[in-house]
Amino acid sequence: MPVKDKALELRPLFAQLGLLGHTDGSVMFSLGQTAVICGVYGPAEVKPHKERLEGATVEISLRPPSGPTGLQEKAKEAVLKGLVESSILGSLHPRTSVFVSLQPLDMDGGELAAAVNATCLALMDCSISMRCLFASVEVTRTEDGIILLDPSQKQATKAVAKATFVFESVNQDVLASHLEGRWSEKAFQAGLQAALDGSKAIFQFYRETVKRKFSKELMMK
Amino acid sequence: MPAEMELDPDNVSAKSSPSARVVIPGDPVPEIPPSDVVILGPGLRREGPHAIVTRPGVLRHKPLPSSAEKLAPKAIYWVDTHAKRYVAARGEHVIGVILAKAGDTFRVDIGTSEPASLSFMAFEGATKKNRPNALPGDVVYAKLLVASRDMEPELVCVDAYGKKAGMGVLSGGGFVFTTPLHVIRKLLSPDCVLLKTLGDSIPFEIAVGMNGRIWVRCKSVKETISLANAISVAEYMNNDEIKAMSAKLVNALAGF
Amino acid sequence: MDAQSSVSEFKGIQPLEYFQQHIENGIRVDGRRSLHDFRPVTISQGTISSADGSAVIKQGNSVFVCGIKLELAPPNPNEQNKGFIVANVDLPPLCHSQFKPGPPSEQAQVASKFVKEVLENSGIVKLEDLNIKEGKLSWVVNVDIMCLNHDGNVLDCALKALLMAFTDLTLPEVTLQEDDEAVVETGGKIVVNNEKRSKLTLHSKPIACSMAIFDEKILVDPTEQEEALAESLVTVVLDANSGDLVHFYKPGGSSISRQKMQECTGLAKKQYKTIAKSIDQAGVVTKMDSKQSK
Repeated sequence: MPVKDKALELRPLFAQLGLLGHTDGSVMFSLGQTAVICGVYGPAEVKPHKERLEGATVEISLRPPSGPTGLQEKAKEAVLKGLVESSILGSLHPRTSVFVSLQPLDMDGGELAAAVNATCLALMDCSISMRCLFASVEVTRTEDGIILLDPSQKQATKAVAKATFVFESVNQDVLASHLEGRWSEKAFQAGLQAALDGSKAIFQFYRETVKRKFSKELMMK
Repeated sequence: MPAEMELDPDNVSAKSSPSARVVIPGDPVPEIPPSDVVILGPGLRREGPHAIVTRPGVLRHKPLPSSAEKLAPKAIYWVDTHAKRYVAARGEHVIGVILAKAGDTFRVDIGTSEPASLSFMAFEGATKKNRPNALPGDVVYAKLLVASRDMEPELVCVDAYGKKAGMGVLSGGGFVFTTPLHVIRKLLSPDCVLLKTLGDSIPFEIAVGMNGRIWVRCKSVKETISLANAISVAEYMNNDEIKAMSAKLVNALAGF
Repeated sequence: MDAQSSVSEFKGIQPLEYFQQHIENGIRVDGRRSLHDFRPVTISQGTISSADGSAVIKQGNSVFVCGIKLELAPPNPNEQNKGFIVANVDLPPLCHSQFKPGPPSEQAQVASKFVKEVLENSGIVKLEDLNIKEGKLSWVVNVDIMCLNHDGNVLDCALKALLMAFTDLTLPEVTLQEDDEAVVETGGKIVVNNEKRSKLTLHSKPIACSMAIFDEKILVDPTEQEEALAESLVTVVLDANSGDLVHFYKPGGSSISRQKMQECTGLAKKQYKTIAKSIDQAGVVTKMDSKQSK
């Protein structure tokens, strides 16, 4: 499988935690030019018909940058819901709701990945108990089999297939996957490996972001 | 892949020196030996023999005095985290706002996922006939008697002897404002000089709720507002900075 | 207490343990002998006479019907040589009590999106094939998939119903009598010959294989009960013609290792051949297939 090394780098990552005053946790996250704001409320009051006795109810709201919410957003919400449910320790907060609201600002490739990563950072800012973190990366494949990690919209124009993977932080196992286009099994494995390597950089970025948040706390004592 | 492989260099060095460090959910805590009896505080849980971090923050620990008992815990470990949302914990003092009267109880908002209940009888000197004089909208300082994840939180405004012990309706004006929960913990920490320093120059009354709400009252509105601002900005100040800030505030209030 | 009632009590009181004991012994609650077995599939095509292509599939107790209706419309000005496919999956209240009347449930929306993605990813129908006259007239293929009885594995069944309805689909011959700008707007000069119909060329044969992961074990073709108890669900879609991976759908749930992922793909590979065979035996062999076999 021909793989260009330069193609296997993430675009610059940026995160600002706690920028929204009224949410319990919030982040502005960007992956190159793709930017998304995410706010989390939780564990908060839950509507009686959604109440669960065994754990927290997870609700996701993802709005498109413009226009009404469509099928695409609903599908992304379903993926995000699955991710949040499996990574938070919801059983510690039964009969409550964890509400995640996402607002993409700029779309330049890797929208789902950016939304997933923003959700994880916002959950951390909210300080909800989690069993693991999760990180997502998009990979694309061109006609001649070149794998590109986290491409911008412009870089992805030549792509014939796309895939978004979500990994968890403890065992680096796959939490979710989503494909567009056809993948031969070999290319799929190569894409998966590239995404896994990319996700490690994101986990490292999470750690640095949290360190920055608590740096003053450490200095005080 | 063994989890230890994923530790970053800072963490590995922390293994040798047990100083405080920043951790994120999913991190193992190698300094807690699986065989030791320790207390795991907030932000940590045990998964098999290992302790795992569940909330991001600063990992801290405190050795406990050694005891002759074999199963006595040797140390207590916890994660100092930043959160805005309060989760009720038994025995903590909180500030709530009465939402409504419901039968023989008040429904009180204390910032948790559901309102707490406060019985009419849980006030000093209350009897079936002599009901407490509180109305919806009033602010109360109370203690959590019941706080379980599966049950509605329950408040009381009396201590074990039936005395009010500073609790009850906070009346006579004053101002309630909210801060993140770690600011409250800082204010109440014995090392923190903020309230003492401010109190040396400005007389004030204060009630600090673990749910992130603070009630203050001074002689004038001007002083009350200045005091609330002083507490809000002290989040990241050390004791020297707090002293400097207080001196400046007192001067400004005196008109210099 | 007789054995019958104690079994049903066990099932009622401890559904998870009841289920676990079956899985540990390598059998399924509905009587299947292996964790990797499919439920029996019955397919019938052309059941809806008013539709241009239709199929009913029954997989265990899950019943799905798919109908395709054709419409004529001017093509999109940006893509003058292409037609349209509008696919929709409906999970009405009659198929399961979990669905309420009103706007489509979240699961129905997710299934619709999945079917659309598979249609796009697999390229089963080339949109160019649906064009009648460039810039003037195209086919709109309305695909409606409806669940009549929901007993798990919505995605597999929906996709099978879709594939079978597509193989059943025939397009009537359409002639444009005059090459006039106003033709399409007025509709008067279009002649549709319903007697002379032709099959649509299918360029791939996407076959889905859904699996539920439970206690590190993979259960192929889960029932509704198994889906509810499973830790996570994976759907692998393979093209039976080329063997390419068309979709690897995993929406959250507990994590799976890469090794497990490969195991899933391997199982799907084993399964799709059997399914492709049973689909072909349903009576229709696409033209694409007969060419390839020669």
